[in-house]
Amino acid sequence: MTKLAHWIIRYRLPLLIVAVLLTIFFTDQLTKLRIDSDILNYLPQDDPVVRLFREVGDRYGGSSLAVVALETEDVFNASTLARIDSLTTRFQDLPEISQVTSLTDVLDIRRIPDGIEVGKLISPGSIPQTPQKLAALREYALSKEMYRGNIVAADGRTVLLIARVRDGVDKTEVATKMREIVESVPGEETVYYGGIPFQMLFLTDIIIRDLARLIPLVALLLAVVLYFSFHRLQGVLLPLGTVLISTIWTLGLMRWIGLELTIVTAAIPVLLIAIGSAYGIHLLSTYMEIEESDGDRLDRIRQSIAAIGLPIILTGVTTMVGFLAFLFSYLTMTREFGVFASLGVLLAMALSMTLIPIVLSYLPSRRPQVNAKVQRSNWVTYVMDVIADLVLAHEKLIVFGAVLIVAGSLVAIPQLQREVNMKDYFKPDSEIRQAEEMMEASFGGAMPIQILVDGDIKDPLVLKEMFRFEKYLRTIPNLSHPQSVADLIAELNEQMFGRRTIPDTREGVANLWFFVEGNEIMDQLVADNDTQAVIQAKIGTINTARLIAVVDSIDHHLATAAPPQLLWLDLDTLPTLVRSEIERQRMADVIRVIALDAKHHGVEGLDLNEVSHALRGAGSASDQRLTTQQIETVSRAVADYFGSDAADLPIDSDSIVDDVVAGLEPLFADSLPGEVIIGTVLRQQIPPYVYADDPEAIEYAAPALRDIVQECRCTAFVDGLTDSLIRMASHIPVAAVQAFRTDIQGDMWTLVEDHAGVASELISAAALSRLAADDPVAATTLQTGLPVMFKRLDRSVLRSQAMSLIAAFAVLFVLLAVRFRSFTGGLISLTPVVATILCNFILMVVFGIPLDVVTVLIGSVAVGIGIDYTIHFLARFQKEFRGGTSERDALRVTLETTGKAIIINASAVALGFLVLVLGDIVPMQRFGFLIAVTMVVSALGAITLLPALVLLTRARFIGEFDRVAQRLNHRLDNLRTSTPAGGRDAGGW
Amino acid sequence: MSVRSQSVVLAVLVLAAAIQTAGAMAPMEILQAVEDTLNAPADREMHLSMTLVDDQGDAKTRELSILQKGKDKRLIRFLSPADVRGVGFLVLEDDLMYIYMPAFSKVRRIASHVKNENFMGTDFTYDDMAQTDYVKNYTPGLKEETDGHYVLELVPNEESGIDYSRLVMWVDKATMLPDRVEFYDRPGLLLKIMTQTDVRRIDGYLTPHHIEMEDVQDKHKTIMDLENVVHDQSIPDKQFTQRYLKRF
Repeated sequence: MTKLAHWIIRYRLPLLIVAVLLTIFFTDQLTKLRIDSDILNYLPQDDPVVRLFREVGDRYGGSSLAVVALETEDVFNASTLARIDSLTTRFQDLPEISQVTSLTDVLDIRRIPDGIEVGKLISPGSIPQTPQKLAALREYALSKEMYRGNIVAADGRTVLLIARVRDGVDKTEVATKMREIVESVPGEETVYYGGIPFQMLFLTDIIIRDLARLIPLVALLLAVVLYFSFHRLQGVLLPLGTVLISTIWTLGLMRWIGLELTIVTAAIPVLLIAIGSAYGIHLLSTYMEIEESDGDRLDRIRQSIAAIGLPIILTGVTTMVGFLAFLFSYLTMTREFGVFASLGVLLAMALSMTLIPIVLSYLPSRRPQVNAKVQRSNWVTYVMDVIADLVLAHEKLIVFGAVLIVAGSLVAIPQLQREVNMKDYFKPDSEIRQAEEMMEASFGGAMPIQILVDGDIKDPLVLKEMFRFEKYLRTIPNLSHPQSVADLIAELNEQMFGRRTIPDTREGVANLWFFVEGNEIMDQLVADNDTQAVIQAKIGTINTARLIAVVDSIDHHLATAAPPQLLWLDLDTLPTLVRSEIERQRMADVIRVIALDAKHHGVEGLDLNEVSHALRGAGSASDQRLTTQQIETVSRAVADYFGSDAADLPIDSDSIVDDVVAGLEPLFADSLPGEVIIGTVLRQQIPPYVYADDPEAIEYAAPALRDIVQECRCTAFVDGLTDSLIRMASHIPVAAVQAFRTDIQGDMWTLVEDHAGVASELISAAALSRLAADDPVAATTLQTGLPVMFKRLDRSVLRSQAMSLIAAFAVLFVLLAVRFRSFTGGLISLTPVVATILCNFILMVVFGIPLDVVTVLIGSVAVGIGIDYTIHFLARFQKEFRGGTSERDALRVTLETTGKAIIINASAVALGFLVLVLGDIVPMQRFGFLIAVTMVVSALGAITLLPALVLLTRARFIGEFDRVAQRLNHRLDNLRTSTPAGGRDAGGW
Repeated sequence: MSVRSQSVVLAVLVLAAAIQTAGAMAPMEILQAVEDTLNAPADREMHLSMTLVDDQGDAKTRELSILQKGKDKRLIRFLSPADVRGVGFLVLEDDLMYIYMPAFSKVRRIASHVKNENFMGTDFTYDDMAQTDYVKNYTPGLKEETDGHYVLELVPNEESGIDYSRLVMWVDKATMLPDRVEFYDRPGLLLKIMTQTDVRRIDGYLTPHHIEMEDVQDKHKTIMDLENVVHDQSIPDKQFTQRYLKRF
């Protein structure tokens, strides 16, 4: 140390110049420091789960949606729609935005009498103005699942404008522009902003706001504390300047190596100012003590460094250890925090030991004023004496108190809540949370979950599995609006052909698919040449435990309910026995899906046994006997065919049509007639002149009629069953009647299909070889999305907590055991901080503060800083005791000197951390509060529990307890008068 | 004089007129000449091989046939891939379109406002596919004239409902056919580039046989190669009916 002191003084000028230059350089860097507010960047990018999540986000555009919501009494009014239209157009005009979805620009597939209408929900430039038209639009938009709860809330009070931001553009900049646009288009509506771009903008704002507000505050606080401690300007400026410079270096260095500030590393300035000043304070107070003596000024500076250097280094190192323990953390931002906080401590320590002496060496030396501290010291000294008496009289009680804390923590720790959802990081009244709550209430949440499906997506079996899986998803609590290409196909099938189901042939799927191919929406649903699809759903909770429950139930379902391989069988080619077995299985599947639909729509009283009975009793669509009414329906369909433009054989004469219908009726009343016999009837009933110019007409008409009859029979079958199921239910919510009917109708169309999918494991290899089946169809599923990330984070929070605490304790134990050259010494010194950590957990349970990615840091930080108090206390106690006093007097002296300094230091640090409570980031508030409390607790632990333990165990590393104490009693008075009042609290080193 | 030879004569006259007046043409005249050249044949039948290339470089190829009569009768039939073989579109007027889906043996009317949507996964919108009404829908301006080209800037008329902010069209003076068209989106950014090359004279009509449309924003490309182009076969109107749409 003495060598170092000499070296510092010898090279003071070059060192000073270097420091100034570095400060200039890093200040320049600091001004370029950017804030990384992309929450996704805080996750470790090399974790496969994170990589998958990011890939899916990039591929399907999930991470780039900026959402603006408008809320008013009823959004279906001309002025709100005009505002939506204007905003939509102006958003689209931004080059950074590739697509905007809103009520005024959204794909609409709508059934019309002879086909479908494809267009926009509201055609460009034609916003309805009359109340009737507005009411009709409202009714239509709210009736469709594509819109309801997706872009307009079910109650019609809120609408969304969803903008897709292009890759590689500055998301916060786009968000800023969008916000300006919204503000420039006035309206009555309440506006909310959601989605990653706006969240990033918001986060950047609050990080900057917090920094701008909290740094001056904590600096001011420190200045006040310093002034009252030293009563002179240099006492304020030197430690404050040192921590500010080390903060500048630390942040400048972060920028220099290419890092950006995160919500956690943003706490580093406040943290460094709060804890980094201690080193300067120690050095300065030592210098001031020595200043009172005579001698050369430079020599006094050298003496100060030599005296206090080692203690400063050792307490600094223990604090660094606490921060470096975060290298075990899962989150990148926490690891960065650990590294740079400890670097900041190192710099604060190094600069305190170099810069302060160097500056002092250029300043004129002066005698300290007669200070008023003595009087205050008396008051504190009195309190310390009371504590000393307490410890000496009740050491067992104190240790018993510690045991109670341990016992309490055993009860409390299992009750610790965990919260890793970053939305919880913002105050409930913050914009981001308000938007989140609105999204949850009106749109089933804003957080998407994704299930990736790898396989031949155009295969009807894969789509059917996806569709069925979505029906399952709809029944999970807190989950809503599943969406996939399977829905879209089913929706098209419903609008075109009246069946909300996946067609049972590849061609059927392909024909419908073709219709929407290349549409923008497909980019969000399928990828990789149709070999991968994603099922998206929204989660309506931000509670971590509930999120994880959703993730787990999905994973469980994926693992158990989805067959790994399916065989697609053409039922007509199967032997009767096999066929009926497969049809039985298919029926069981359909019943399960009907049950899911009933659950989703809130249908009550649907007895599955009854349903099963009804389905089994219904026979088959091809050979059931039609009722008179059904026969009429078929007859009408046949008659309509001949009159339509699409007729292969148009017939103008009603009487000929009647003849044909009459001729066909006996054929279709009981069964499905074949093409040939239909052709024969047509030739019998239709005079040849009708088709003279088109001789092939009959050959085209016969199969067409067969299809019509078949469809009519199937419709009759499905509708009959649907009606009877609807009748079975004891209660169907009024709003859900139509949707439930559509859904179960779609389910039952499966029963009349010619093909069926069978899990290949159910069929033996031998049987398989006899069946004319295609290769088995396989699809793999994988869940991803923020909730999955949160589950991972949740696990990692626990692991990080355990690992960082173990690491910190292990390293500190070794350091302390070496310092006191005693195993017991190492153990005893750790006790107060262990008790502090346990106290912290109890407090968290009592105040309902969850363990999150920031509060998980408290343990190691508290250990790293709190251990200093133990070290100071034990060192002084050891010194006093070995000096020959009794344990009673050694304790009294230690408490009056070091103990007092510990309390002052802890209070100052606690005060510094309490500043964080004024910030806007909730975990930082909790962090500030809890660290402040743990500082005080560990200081109290150091001055009560620690001596109590030493006295109780009579630990030998402190000294020889068995010697006669009285002999040394009188020395106490000398010691007491010669000990400087306060300040020098680490004299034992 | 048959319809076919009438058209040939007409086309030659138009071409001659175009060449004669070259250099002194007003923008509207140039555009009219382009449109006349494009619409010269009474009817046209062709095979098309269409390749869609996505941003990953993955290509999908499909074959189709197109039957066209006048400005507003068109039958598009997909021949491959197998699972969409037979899917047909009958386009009669702007908003009257029918689709036939062989897997369901059904014709459905598509009442459509989808002019600006991409057609069946291609980079052509329905409107691009049917684009023969330049004069009606755009106001042209002469941007530049080079030795070989007129460069026109076309701004869509208010009532056209076209979603582009403008088109820049390079018209080859020799053929009066556009060999390059740039499409700009509403914010004014370049959206797509169409190039038409391999112009051959078939039945007296100039027809580009290689057409590429590249979406520069989505990095997606559609390449069309024409084969077996036949003109003026006097295709009867009944071919453009729902009944024939179903017959495949």
